[in-house]
Amino acid sequence: MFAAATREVVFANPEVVRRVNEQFIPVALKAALVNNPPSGVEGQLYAEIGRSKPAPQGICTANSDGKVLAWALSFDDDASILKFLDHALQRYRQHPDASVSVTAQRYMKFPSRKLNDVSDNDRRIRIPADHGDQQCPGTPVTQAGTLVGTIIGRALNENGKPVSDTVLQEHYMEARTEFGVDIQQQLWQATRTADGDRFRIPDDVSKALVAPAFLGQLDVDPLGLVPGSKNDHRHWDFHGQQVESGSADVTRIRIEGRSDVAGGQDAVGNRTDGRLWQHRVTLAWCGFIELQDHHVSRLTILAEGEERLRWGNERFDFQGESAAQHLMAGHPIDLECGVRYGLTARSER
Amino acid sequence: MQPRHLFACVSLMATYFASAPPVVLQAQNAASSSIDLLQIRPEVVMQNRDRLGLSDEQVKRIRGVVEKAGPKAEQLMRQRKVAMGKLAEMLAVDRIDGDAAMKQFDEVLAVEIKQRRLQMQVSIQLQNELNADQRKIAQQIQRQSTALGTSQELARKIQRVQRFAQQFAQSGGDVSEIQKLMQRVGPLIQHGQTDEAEDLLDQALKLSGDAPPVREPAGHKNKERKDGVEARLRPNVRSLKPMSFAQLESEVAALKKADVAWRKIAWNTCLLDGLKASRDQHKPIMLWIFIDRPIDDERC
Repeated sequence: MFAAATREVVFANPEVVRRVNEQFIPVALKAALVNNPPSGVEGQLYAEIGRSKPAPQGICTANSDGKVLAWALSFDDDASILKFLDHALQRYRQHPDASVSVTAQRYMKFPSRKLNDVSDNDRRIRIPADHGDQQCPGTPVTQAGTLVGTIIGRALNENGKPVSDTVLQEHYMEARTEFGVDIQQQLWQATRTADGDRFRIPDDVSKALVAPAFLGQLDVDPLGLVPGSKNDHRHWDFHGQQVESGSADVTRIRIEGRSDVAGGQDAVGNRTDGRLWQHRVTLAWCGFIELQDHHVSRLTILAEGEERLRWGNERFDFQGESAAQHLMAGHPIDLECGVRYGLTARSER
Repeated sequence: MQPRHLFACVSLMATYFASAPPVVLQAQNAASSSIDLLQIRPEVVMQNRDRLGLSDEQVKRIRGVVEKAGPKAEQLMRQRKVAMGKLAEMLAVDRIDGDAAMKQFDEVLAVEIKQRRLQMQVSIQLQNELNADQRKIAQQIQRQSTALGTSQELARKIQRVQRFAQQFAQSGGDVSEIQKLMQRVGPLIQHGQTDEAEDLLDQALKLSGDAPPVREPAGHKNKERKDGVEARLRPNVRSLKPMSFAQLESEVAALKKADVAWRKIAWNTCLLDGLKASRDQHKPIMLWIFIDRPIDDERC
């Protein structure tokens, strides 16, 4: 939730965007690397940042030697976000590098709720110029042959037109999708077995299409695929029919289907942090998938339907409070509307 | 065997085939679907005996296979349910006993493997009872007429009706109408009228609520609920009109907005590059520590 709320409230604020671009070096790090640093010198840098972290995710400012200046997990209001930037710049002027000890400040809510500082360990890490023969840990690793695509989701207004807002993810969503080699081969096999007849799309292929098609932040996955979520209901039914592709090398499949998935918060285990939500997505799908040499070479699919999403937290009363105060919990959502999704992917082979 | 008993066995096997063990499936996701495609399902054979041209002797032998496997299938389903229940209990505590939970998980897997073996065993016996032409027709039926999907879907829907109706009854609801509908489902399936059976199941699902009750999220306390049964909402979504590839590409492309506020910060993803830029430009680093997704994923 934190990442989504931070992007909406902090990094979509035009003044924050302007100042971050002009006055800071913006770096986005995966929480997994900070919380479980890799080996080597770069891992030591991640560990140094993680040493003072007040939570697994957060906003952090650091100096040029990777020493943390200040953390913030939320803010008193929107104006406090800009004050935090001022504060960070001031601290950088005092501690631009590790030549003198610097204490890491930590704010649960800036500036009103400060946590204990974390003292410098006075350990200087010699920063390498590059990764040498190692891959940058920030670079995503994708299995060879995986088809990477994009899905875009839009909430529709009462006239059936996409809502213009693109900041809130319950209105506008973009996500990366992956179609693994095994999924592509299942589709190839099913197409071959059908021998020109209409056929049922393999379950794993259908699931790969349906899984990312939901609005809202990652946490509200109705299939229950992320920690803290649970699937209550799932059904999909996709069929394919080979059609003329215009090329002997390309097998084109017209695909159509329906999906209906619903989920909510998990009552046990991870992230039972008071979040309460329910989410249902019902879609009709149509599109084309092209296969070439046993793999998916191109894919374009459109889905339309209805979506119901409600999100809140039993531990917070959001009424009248700034979203900047609750970056960890996010803002309440009550959405019931038509939706449209578009999925595209094209092999670079 | 009485027809009712046979129907029960075929239904059980249909449910059994449909209830593919999820843990094994997840572990073997690459292979499971292709294995399903290779199998011939008992209900496909029993519901299409005329089309397959089965002799009386074949029908008798196939009945024997199904009757013999039925109790074993039921026993394994019960075993899996018990094993899964124990596993769920072990995972529901504050501090999970890892060794015990993994041992229990192994038990679930062991039962699921037995289930899959039985499925394959029954399928092989069925295929051996059919001649080459009958086998080909059975495979075509399974492939073409969505027999595979239909039977799976019906079995899933029957299970869902049972689950939701039970919850509905526990919350004080009157399930008599649901029972009446369900009494008509069996004969329809028996006569191959799967579409009609599915319609009845949909009606039953609607009556039973089709979703478990959920708590009201905070922040919505003052919001009026439209009908008081929001969890039962079942949207009606129309199929999309057919479009050409070019039309579809155009529709999908139109969804993407170029001018998006949060895309205006060019985030570095390399810490080393960020630190170098910080030194060179004498600027502090703004670190956004975010959830573990590929860095090029805009979803967060």
